[in-house]
Amino acid sequence: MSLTITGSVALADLLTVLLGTGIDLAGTPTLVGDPTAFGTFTAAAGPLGHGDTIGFPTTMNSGILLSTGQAITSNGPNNSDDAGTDFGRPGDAQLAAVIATTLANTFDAAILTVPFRSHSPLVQLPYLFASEEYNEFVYSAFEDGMAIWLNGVNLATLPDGTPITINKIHNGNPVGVGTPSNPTYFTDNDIHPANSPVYAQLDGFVGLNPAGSAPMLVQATVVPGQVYTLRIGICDVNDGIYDSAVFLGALQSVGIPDPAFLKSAGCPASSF
Amino acid sequence: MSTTTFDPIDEQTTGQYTAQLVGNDGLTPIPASVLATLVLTLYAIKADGTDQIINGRNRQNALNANNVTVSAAGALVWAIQVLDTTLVEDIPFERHVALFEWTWTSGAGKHEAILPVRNLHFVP
Repeated sequence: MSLTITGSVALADLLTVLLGTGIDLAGTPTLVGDPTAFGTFTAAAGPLGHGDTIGFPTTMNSGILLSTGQAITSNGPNNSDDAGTDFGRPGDAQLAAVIATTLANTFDAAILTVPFRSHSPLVQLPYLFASEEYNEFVYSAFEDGMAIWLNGVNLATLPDGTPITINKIHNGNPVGVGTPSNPTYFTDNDIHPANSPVYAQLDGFVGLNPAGSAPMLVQATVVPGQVYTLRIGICDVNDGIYDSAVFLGALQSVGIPDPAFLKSAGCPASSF
Repeated sequence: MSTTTFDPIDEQTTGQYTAQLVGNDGLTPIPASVLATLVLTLYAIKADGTDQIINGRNRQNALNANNVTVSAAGALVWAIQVLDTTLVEDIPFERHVALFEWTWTSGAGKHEAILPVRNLHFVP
């Protein structure tokens, strides 16, 4: 089975995939960006049968993706060092703040905003960041990045709070040479000098490991029944040329549902 | 504006870039004879995000001049020079951007070509 990516997916269809167990839409969601930048994916757990050695995590066999180019560009095989689409679209001020650059230096932002309610006091969202900027443009100004905000707080970080950007997570340039930064979170997927270990176009991943089992994870405690705003964003930096993408599993409510919320939602507790 | 991205090119090497100038319909070639202006700007995007002009190509006349030719059929050829692929910083790869801008009797156009230039360790 291959990685399958469908591009130009409408907002309602994105939400069908994104909103998982115990999560209810609670307002008007929005998309900002080029329509072709939003897609859905399916992938078998483990290698995908094209000579690749690392598969998508078992918790991310399907999901959505946001890209700074066309979503379908992220699909395998990796046959280019420079895949991408420059939409010539603007960036995003909140992403610029996360990446520590200016709004004017960000481009081709893809943003999905979703108000939601959770049935239980803990929500989680697995994700992977990937980019064509790896490894050639590590240490450069092309520091593409992403963020996942919950009520305005970016939760898509390493445990020490490091944001997810090209220059914050890599294994040197060329890979293995130079000073790495958080390399345990990084998987090289360049086509040089060897075949790419992941069946995907993008040249580096954040959140995979050789066992294919450890995606990055946003977790947050919430008040069941209360409305929260999830905002997912990704952008190019300094130009719009080489693409980056964020793959997301389902946003799920985990743990024991709050009986009070179940009552307010009209669901008997025994149904869970 | 359209953009073309190259595979990486080694520093201080020569090469050739070809493109087809077309009119407002995206199909009809623009022959050199109807071009009023054609200029080339070549710059590197540095690690701090600022730009630096390379090889003096700052809106440089490129209408059959300065290593650029345009044929009667609208075929543009840029003979890339060693100085065009000379790095301005000591980083593994440097993105050089060639911006072509032209005007002709029926309009104006722009095209960007991106050259990732590879730093060869033992090239001074």
